[in-house]
Amino acid sequence: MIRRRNITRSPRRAVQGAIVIGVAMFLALAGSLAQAQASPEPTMAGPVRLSESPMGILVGDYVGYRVLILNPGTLAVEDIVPITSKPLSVAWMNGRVYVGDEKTGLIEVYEKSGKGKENAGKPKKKVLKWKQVSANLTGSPIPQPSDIAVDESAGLIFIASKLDKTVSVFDQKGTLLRIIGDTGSEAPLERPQGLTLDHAGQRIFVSDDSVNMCSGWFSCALGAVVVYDYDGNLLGAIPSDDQTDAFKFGRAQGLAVDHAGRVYLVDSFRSEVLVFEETETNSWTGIGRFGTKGAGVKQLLLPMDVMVDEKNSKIYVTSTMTARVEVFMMAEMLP
Amino acid sequence: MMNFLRITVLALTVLFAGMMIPGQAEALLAKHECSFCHTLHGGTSSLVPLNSPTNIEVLCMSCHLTANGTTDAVQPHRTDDSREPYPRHYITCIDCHEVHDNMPNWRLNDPNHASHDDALGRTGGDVRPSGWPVGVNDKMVGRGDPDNETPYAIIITREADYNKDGIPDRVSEPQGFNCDPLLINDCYVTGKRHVIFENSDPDAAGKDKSSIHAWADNNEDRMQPSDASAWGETIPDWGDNDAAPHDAICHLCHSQTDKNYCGLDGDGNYDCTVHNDTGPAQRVTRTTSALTTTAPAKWAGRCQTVTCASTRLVPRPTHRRK
Repeated sequence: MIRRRNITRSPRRAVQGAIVIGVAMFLALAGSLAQAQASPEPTMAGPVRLSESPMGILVGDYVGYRVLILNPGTLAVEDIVPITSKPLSVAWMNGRVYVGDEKTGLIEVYEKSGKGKENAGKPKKKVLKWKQVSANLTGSPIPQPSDIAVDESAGLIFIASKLDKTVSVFDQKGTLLRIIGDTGSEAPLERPQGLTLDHAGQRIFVSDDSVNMCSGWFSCALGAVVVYDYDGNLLGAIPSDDQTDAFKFGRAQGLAVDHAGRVYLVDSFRSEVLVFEETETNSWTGIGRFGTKGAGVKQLLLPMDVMVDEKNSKIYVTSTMTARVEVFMMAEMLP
Repeated sequence: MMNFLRITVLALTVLFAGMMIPGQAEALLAKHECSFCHTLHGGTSSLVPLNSPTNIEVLCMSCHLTANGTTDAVQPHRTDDSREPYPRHYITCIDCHEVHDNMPNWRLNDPNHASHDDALGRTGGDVRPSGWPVGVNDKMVGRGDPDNETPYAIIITREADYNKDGIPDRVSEPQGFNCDPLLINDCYVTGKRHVIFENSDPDAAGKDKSSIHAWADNNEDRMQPSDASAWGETIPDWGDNDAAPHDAICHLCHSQTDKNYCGLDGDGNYDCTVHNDTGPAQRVTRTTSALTTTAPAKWAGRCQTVTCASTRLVPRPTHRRK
């Protein structure tokens, strides 16, 4: 009896076992396939400069050798522009990404393009890839191109060079139109870092961490934001405030300006953003600062650039040492 | 009025005393002037107290993150993917660089380095090879012709002390290391480390922009520098020549031997110490092929964070300290 029972029940158990194993294997396989298909979330290695674009927020990843395009809402990486070298500066104009390469000084231009086929009247989905459309837009290198700003309506590209100590203005074809802030000019630059434009007022804002705007016997903190018109005429400046610590510049870096004329200046040494209000035309007063030093959320370590999204009332800041982009709400940060 | 006179007399005394001391000081770089780091008449240091490795690194990197005029860009030690700032790994710019003497920019070339090291609790004395020139900043930063000069240095390391209790890990083992201080390969040991400072840029164009904070293979032929023995030093084992030698500043802390190399151990595995992505520093073993094939080409050979599925500590070779 025992043997018969064993004989009769064994196949059933075997079938049950096989089903269980089969289901388990299927689930495991499905799980592993799903895992394999889910691409790992790309992360930033060393975000430096920011730029607005219709595709999202452009982030120059200096350490990761690429430009990331972030979703402005979630900050998820939605696209990646692979760069062959170190992207020191980045900008967007007319569907193209402009990148300043630190190593070569070349201004590279990338565009997303691809071919699609029609099949029986139905358009096939285009496969778009980033392609370099110019390896050297300006003809000759711009040594250490620390920032790029563009005025799409005017068709102008402004490039700051730390080594040349100038801001060069080009048209879209890369033809040099003029040089601003060179030695001998009304307001020579010492080491321009950040660059931003007031399109409406056609003003150029340049942060310089080494320009000496102070006078007197004792040394003082260097640095200023120098404001020019598009022709290079000096309009004003925001010097480092040596009298108090509140608006004394440590390392002036990237900057942004909003429609009210407020200037947002990142100070990488202070790990803060300093905010200045335009109290009179071309005259600014410090009104606040935000960002605390640290590695937590809404904290900054070695911030390098700021971008103001007035439409969504947000301010984005790159925190290079923590390899993140931090988001601040304008209403909370502005006095 | 009296206060003004006192201050004036004091200032003149200090100035006079300074003039009488035989000149040790080189002209400082503009950005290494006292006031940039110390609170003097408008110095920026009042903005950020230099009271932690993180703050010090922020100060340094605010200039050195990217190439800045004539200043080279550097690649600092990056922590694991949690992006925590420095304290865990406890080494920062000034551990190697002496900013006050300006010229050598290398602690061991500072004539007072011994006292500095003593102050930091480090011992070891001057470990420069005989005849090692003073003031070879070029060697330190890897400038010059990397094919004809071996960027090579020896540096004093401190013992690992992750919890900063002042007790070296080999004694307190706060991370649970099964560390036997009698095994030469088992613990970080204070002493000299041999460091090859090499090119960080994977292409030829960057060869003249070497970075000490990168990997070792000065002409990028994936072979040990031919003139490594010029300083009377030999490197016994570079692992294998199929991969770039993993011998760089990383190995100040991440080596398993006092000769600072990662190499094939008795199991045929390529052994060195790395961090994983989630936990504290720990030893993991990766095969040579895994090390070279999992990294993107441009990172090949660099010391980097390696994720390891297993957190099991690997048995160490048992070379007893003599």
